[in-house]
Amino acid sequence: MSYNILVVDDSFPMRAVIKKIIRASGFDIGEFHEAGNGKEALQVLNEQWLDLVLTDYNMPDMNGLELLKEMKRHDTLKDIPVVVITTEGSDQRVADFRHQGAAAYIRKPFTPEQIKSHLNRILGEPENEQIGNGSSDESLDF
Amino acid sequence: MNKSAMAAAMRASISEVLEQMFFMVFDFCTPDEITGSAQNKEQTVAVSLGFQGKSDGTFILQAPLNLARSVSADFMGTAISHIRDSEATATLLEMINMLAGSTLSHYDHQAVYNLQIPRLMATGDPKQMRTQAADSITIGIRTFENRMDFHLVTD
Repeated sequence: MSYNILVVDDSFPMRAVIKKIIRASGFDIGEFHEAGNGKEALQVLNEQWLDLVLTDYNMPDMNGLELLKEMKRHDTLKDIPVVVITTEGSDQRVADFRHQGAAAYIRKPFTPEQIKSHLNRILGEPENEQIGNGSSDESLDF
Repeated sequence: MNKSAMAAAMRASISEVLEQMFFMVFDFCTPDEITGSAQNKEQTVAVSLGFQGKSDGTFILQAPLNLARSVSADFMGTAISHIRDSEATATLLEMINMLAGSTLSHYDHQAVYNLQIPRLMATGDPKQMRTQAADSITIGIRTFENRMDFHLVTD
């Protein structure tokens, strides 16, 4: 089964790195979509069928938490798992993400193994993997 | 703000971010060793990120453009010849984003800080900000090829 994934981050280099890590994790990727903020992400979500969203928190126009809240308000979007990848590490912010229904939280800086570990749990183990499993104290499953 | 605790948090975040995300080999310069990229002939890039919370301030990251291009190439896994100046700048903006968030988490993981969007600074702005700041901390980062400076200025 191939997955359509949306990567939301106002940093082009970070979007490129996340895509590279996911490809190297062995998942069968149908299409990668990108957005620079929550508003752009919602446009993509309204036009494309997506299996997973990975989003930063601190972005212009609409941040990752606002995007998450908006997705949970729509029947067609609320069940798409959202992984938050962010530099925000305060206990309160993590609680906010959990409360709003994020599937997982990963703090930047992160290792490829952290991304893969969460995707394994959310999407299932890939058949061809180049990155091993790993765990870290700086990522959480919700 | 506890200045020594903040300096320690800055060093911890530099080690974490540069080693884990950017695969950089570096060591810290003492303030006396920092000659400053601006004193060289190389073109430099400076980016900043402001924050508000229990205390307010601005982080600044200064690096020679050539170093920024090298870091960007390693980060994105592409040849340096493929890196445009805009991509090198974008990588520094992401670097300061991570350094700022990581520093504040190391300093006080319970406090909520509102981070602004990182931005590119005009030439001369970093020195002016540091001169006008109530207080500042500077950490020098020395690589094989060059050095860059990570500052915190507080209001």
